[in-house]
Amino acid sequence: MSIRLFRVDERLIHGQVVIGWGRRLHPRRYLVVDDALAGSDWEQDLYRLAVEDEAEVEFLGVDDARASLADYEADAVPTVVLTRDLASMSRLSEGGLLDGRSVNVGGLHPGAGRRPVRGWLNLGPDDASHLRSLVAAGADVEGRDLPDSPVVGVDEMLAS
Amino acid sequence: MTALARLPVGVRLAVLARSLLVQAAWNYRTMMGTGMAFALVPVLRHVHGEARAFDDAVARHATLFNAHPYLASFAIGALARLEAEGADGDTIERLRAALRGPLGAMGDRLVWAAWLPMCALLGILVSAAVAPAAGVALFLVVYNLGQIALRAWGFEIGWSAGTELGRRLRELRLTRETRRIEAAVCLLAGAVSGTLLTSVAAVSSSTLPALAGIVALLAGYAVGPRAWRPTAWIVTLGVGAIALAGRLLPL
Repeated sequence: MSIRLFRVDERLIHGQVVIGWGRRLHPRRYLVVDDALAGSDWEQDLYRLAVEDEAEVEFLGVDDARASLADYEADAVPTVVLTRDLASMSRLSEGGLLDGRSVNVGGLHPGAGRRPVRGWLNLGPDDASHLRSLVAAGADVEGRDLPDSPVVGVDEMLAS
Repeated sequence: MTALARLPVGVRLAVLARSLLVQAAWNYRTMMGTGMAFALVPVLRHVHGEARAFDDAVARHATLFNAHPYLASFAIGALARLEAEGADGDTIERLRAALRGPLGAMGDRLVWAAWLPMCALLGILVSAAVAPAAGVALFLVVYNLGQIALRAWGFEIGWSAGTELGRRLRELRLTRETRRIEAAVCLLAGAVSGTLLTSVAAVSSSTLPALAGIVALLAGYAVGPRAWRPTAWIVTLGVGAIALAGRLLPL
């Protein structure tokens, strides 16, 4: 399976992802799944700067990503799939597309209307329902900012 | 746009001076957000006056942001441009979000892993070869001229590029410049090692430098970058073998 990690991270491609996870998983491609970024060249230029030379970065809207996820899984390029919110990851998982796959939640920062689970994990009002959809779609959801950090279970995210 | 492009010199200088404090209120909640808002205040006042729009703009920039402290000036310039153009809050927030990742990574490589060690080695070399005070003074002057110039230049690049900053940064090829400085670091490290090894202290007492070398190697092995460990062992064993041969063989 070429897709090494599904991760929800507001900052998308940054130090924790490129160094923390990248040095462990050695991806050659980051697939960013986001409707707004898929149509914005200037934002794509900025996000690409963070992995200059090391890996390619592709941007797809959620519907396009759903249609081609099997192709990414089938080709040989090790890939990390990123969304910047739980809503996009939840839509990606619809219909069992992420059934049995591990979905990593890391880097949802404090903001108005968000309740803290950890310093780096803060959930907005709709996030509980997105988490439940992911679990219902068969995804194995875990909160973890870095590969060696302790795991925050989905029960704790929903309970707090 | 031509009127906007002429931001008064006083405003530019005030932003540069304030950008020196961009990390002064660093915290885990907004990281350098407060510092970014503080640095942008002269531009925001120039653009919005003292009205409600000014308060809103300050609040907008005081939220979560992180970057390398010197390269943050690229972001300050680009965000100032968007504010001056009257861009909507959503576009400004999207630019802030997209800038959080790359400026940190690029700055770590350019400054902490290249410019700082290069200047430090230059200072050590001059300290050993000329006079300690001269080395310290040279380090302070060269390092700080570089970082202040980087901040001033970063603001101008950001200001001229606006949302096109990503394309502009790629064209500038900072990675290539970083590699040049890294090459200078290697050259200076060799010069410093040679200067210290051939100094009187090293020749007259062979035990202390050897002990220092062993301690440095073990410390490097414990905390240094993983990728360099085999190389470090090969270099150390090679240098050790040459030194040992020099002592044992009657040359």
